Amino acid sequence: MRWGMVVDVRKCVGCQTCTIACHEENALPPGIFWRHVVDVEVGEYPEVRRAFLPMGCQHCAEPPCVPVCPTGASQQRADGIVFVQYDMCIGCGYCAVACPYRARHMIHDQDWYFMAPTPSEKKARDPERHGVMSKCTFCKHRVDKAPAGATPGVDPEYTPVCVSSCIANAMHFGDLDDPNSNVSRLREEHQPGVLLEELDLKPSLFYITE
Amino acid sequence: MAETRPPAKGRISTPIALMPAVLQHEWDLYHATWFTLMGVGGGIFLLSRLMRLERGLGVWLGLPVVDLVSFAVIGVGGLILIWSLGRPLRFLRAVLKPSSSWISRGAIADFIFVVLGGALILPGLTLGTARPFAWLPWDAWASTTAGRVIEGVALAAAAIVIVYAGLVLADRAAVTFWRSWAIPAQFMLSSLAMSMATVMVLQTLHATPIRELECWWLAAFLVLLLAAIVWHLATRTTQPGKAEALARLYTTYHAVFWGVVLGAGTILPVLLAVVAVLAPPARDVLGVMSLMLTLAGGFLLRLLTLRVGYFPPVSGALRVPKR
Amino acid sequence: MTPTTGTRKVPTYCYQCVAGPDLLNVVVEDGVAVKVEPNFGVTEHPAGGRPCVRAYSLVQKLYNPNRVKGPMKRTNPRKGKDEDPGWTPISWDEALDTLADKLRPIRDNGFVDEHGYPRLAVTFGAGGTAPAYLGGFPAFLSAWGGPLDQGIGSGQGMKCVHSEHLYGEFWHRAFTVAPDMPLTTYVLSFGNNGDVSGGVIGVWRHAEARGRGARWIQFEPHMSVTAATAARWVPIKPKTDPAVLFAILHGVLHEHDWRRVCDVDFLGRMTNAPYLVGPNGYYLRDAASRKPLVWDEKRGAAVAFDTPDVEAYALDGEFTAVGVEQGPDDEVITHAAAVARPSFAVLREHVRPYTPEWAAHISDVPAATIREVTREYLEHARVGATIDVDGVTLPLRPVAILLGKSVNNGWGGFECCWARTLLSALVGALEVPGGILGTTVRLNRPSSNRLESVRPGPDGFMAQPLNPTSKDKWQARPTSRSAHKTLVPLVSDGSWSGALSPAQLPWLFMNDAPPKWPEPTPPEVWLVGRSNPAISCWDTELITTKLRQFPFVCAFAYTQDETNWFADLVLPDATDLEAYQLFRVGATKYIESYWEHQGVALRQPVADSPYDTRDLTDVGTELSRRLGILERYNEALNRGVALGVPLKGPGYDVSLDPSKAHTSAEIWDRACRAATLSLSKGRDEHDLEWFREHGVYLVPFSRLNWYLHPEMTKKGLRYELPYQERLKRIGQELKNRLHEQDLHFWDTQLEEYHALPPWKDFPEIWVDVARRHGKKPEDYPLWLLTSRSMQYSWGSQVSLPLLADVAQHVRGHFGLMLNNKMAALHGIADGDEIWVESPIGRQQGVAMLRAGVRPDVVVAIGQFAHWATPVAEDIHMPNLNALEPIDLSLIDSTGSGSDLIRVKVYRAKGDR
Repeated sequence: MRWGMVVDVRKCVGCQTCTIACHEENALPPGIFWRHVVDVEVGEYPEVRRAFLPMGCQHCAEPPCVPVCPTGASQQRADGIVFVQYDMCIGCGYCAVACPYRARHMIHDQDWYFMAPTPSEKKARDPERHGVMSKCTFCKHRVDKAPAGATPGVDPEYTPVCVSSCIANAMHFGDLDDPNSNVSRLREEHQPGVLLEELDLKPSLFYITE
Repeated sequence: MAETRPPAKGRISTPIALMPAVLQHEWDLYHATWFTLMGVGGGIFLLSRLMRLERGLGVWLGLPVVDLVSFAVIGVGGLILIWSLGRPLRFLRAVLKPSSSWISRGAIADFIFVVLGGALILPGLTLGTARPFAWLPWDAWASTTAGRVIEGVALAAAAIVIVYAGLVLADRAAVTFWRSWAIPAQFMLSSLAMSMATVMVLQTLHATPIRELECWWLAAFLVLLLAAIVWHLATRTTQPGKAEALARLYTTYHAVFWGVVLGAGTILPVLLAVVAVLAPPARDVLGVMSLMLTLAGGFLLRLLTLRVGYFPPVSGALRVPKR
Repeated sequence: MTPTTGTRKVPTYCYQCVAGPDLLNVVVEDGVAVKVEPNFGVTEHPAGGRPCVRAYSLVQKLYNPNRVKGPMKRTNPRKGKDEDPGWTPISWDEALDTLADKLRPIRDNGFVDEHGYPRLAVTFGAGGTAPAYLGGFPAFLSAWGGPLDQGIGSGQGMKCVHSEHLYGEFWHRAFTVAPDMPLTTYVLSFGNNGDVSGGVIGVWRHAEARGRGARWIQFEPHMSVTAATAARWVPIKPKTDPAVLFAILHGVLHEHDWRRVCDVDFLGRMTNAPYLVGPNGYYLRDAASRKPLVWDEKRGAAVAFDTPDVEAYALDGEFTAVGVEQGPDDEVITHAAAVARPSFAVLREHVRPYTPEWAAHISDVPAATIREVTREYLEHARVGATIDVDGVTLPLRPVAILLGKSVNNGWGGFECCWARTLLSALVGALEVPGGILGTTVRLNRPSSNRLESVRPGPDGFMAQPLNPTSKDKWQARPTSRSAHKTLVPLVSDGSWSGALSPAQLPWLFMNDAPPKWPEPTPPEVWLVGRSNPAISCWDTELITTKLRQFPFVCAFAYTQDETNWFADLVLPDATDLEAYQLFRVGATKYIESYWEHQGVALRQPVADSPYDTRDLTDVGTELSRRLGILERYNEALNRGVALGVPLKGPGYDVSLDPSKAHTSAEIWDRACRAATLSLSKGRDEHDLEWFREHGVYLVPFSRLNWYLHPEMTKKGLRYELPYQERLKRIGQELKNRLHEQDLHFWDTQLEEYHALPPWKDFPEIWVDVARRHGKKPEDYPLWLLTSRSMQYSWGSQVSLPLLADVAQHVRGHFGLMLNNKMAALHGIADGDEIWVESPIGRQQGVAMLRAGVRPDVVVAIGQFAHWATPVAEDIHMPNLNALEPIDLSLIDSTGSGSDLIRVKVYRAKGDR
């Protein structure tokens, strides 16, 4: 089993709903976005293409961020999810400079949107998570809760919130190793590409652009 | 870094740059300072012993001054490094992954160096008339077998200390500019040059004459450093990420880079070293000047290397329509 | 009040923009709201139960420490931008007593002042979203007992799709126009930014359509989000859209065989295409019955349009017939032998000069492109195709032409709306599956069911509640400061009409009215809520100047803002997550919110309010009690005002006791019961507690109801297209009326009343603004436009730092977008501070260089430049509104204007 995503760039409108849903679900501080949509523009007037690329950790099959970690906090599960064990992280930043997808974010300090935390910020914030590196977890806290018979990627409560909140239905999550999963079928039909293919990191996010 | 490959079968477009190169912002002043101090700390231990200069650099409380300076510099650098961590109190965990992480390997080397180097000089500690550690079967000058073994391991650790920062950058960072053997080579040569100059100043302070060989070594380290810098700048200049780094170096930092890193910090000390060869009475003054210049050049070399650290543009397959 | 332990998911709705309501859950842990989630349980929601980006900021909106935390009154009597109001906190009792004391004299001494304007004015802006948050307060306004003025604008007409509102309702009960996106395969969009403004349902459906290969062609001066996702972006010159649309009309009618490509049967039977037009441009009518005549080709004679057995309506040719033309003011022109042509033939002649080459020269759209999209449109239209919808066979015409803001308002808006609707009619794509649909009505009744508002009127068309223009019935003296009954026949006289007419005029004419015009007076009491005209209206400087004159302003406030800075009393708004209301969802509503279900959804307090805010229903009740109109207030509620459903109906009666003051929970409990009883026809009755748990109640709503076509055919009615004979006549009558009063300031607007609108040099109108302000047009060579920000539109989000954090990922936040090559010519680099200057002022911003912007265009997203709103005042973004004058020259006959102005740009430091 290997979790992955297929993003249909033809559908994405860059609205940042996934950005804010992830931000809120994971109680992130100001300025830290595990998922955000990049507003890309290429070409010269009038032959221009503008597209929106949901970015974040690509959960590479060969993640450069895992071997560089001096403490072993940066880990990869058997199902491919790359995550940070916060209580082992010393916040050295090596994984962040190793990631060409710019997907790692150091949470430096307790930081609030206003001078003092609001009741919701106080309630939701994880005190373990400062001074350490953070990143997209593929919402493993939701995926792992799926009971028998439920399918992450199909059942929204067990699916990463970016996928289940997308108002263009542009993002899909599932098991890349299962040929009958939603993501496998999309890959078969559209042959989507990956970003920074030349680095050969074998990312788990595939982008349909045509 | 491999060039972009043609798309796999079935896919239509050739990858193009979609997101521009962006600067890393994890490592900056603290790390440049740490790299510099580690380089000096490890280097002066290494050079003073390999060149058999350690006895001529003074003793304090029975301990060789050069080693004390070495450990002090490393101590300060280490504290700065630890201070820069997100979770400083957890710093000991940094040694847990030597199988794959150069930070782990370097941290281990740091510890081994400080512990073994410290142990090596410990028997000499003299407090008043007492020598509490004299019973240890070695001395600071490694005149016994045990001492030579300890010194040997400490020297090996010191060698790693002066180069591992460069290996951290070059090994797996995504920053294209850093992914080159030139970086650890530059850091090592710069460390050796700064260390040589430091040893010279310590000699001056202890009224020990600076030898001609030291001046040649200083010049040699700097010439090789210059070669490594020039080679790095001249090769793969259009590589994604590296091109942006060079542009930034030549625009935002052009004065500091050409003027201080290359000019005052590398080329000028070469000339001073040659003059020092030719004019022995001037060596003390030239040694002090060389230290200031190489320290400035070395620190700024590391800082600028970090500050032009661009992640490469993110490429992907996106077709731009023709009207 | 709300439980304080455990985790709950509290259902509610979001109506921060008019594309909703959409549904969501608020997750509450131990009494603290922590996050927002979609409401996946509502599978009937066309976008999978998901709300958009802004809904996720509702938690921060609730706990925002910069909110107004309790009622406050002004202690500094001087009002001005630089005058601190000197707010001092007071109790709710004192606040409501103060307000009641101001309102009572109006009821006692006369509702209307000496100029004829209501003394009480209310402005609840935000395009119709306010009613979803006012609770029962509209019942108080209904019980008020006399006229009140809703015409003091906060941007209506300029910020909404105004011409589309009025003409859309007129032609096909379409206050807003949507594509039938689930079936559409081809869209021509002129500036419609539906992937930003279409709401979650619009975005969802457009994306799904793209996935199945639907083609969207976007004509727009810059590459908006919608242009980005479109199959093709055509960078059209601003305000030249009518030219391209006219050229497409020309293409259909002259470069293709119209008999083959048009839906001739539809045109003959369901439009005024066959109506004969006489020599003076009016229908040729039967002298006795006054019915418009058509030429029956089989009979070879002119007959009344509703003659039952006409098989072939002549659409072409010239005929001689006896009849009369009905001119303005009952003028009758008798013809013994008039040469008449079907209006379709007149139309063809009208569009003959509008060739693609002509349009290319004006619009920068190549003639080949115009021909290509014309051909594609006709191919995709599938004239003759049918589809089964819920057992009924309907025409299938999967093509739609959409218009965006600044195309469907202001000068040129009428022309674009007319051309677009006509192009739909030509292929029979009007109000049928796949084509363009109206979603709701606001000027016609009932507002809950636009199909029911289709009633037979004169000449075979729908009855229209137009404001009279006849000598005896015309409202000479304006009843509202926006003069809707006097100046705009199309806008009728309903509760929304005041806000839908020239709502900028009150600001313009206060202290500066045209000769003979009763000057709009500042209202004695102005209630303003969910609205910030000092930012959202043109000429923001003018607005703040005039605001100083308002003697008493009571603002329902979320935070301090630029308008309530001038208030005398601020009453903290209970925001989206703090109060009760039951609101209609589903059926067909604005934008693209048309469902296969209809029902009601509850919004409710999700957690204890952090501040001393109050449910506006309770405010309405309290004010009513203080003013002695409690009984009238309760009766209004019983009638269904504000509740959306009468509390007494066939088979049920859950009315409120009119003599008592009821709590908000009691009132909404009755509404919940009435709504469920009504929707289920007596089968279900659910109370407030049920809704607090379930959130929404839905019943099926047939897709057939999306389309006006069955209703029109059932009632034997025609669409009043292409020929605007009625508009021509009432335009002339209005001119007569105004000139009889020696009023000439509206003369330019009167020129818009055409039976078939011609092209005018619309861009020149904006070029001319400079001359009107004593400046040279060539000094302002660029067009400043604005564009929607999905992250920021509507709901007071400017004060939320979370949204600023999120929005920065989208181009345009936070700066001025310019073409990169043009910028280089001006010596402007990306990130430079620049000035953008119009003939009336200048604003500073950061240059953001782009390839996807026409070289003659500058784009400023949204409307910012706040100076009082917390957090927003730190956002360094220029506001087009500060640069746009309220000029009569920029206002069209419906009272709308387009958000664009000619400007120049230059670096903030360095040479100009």
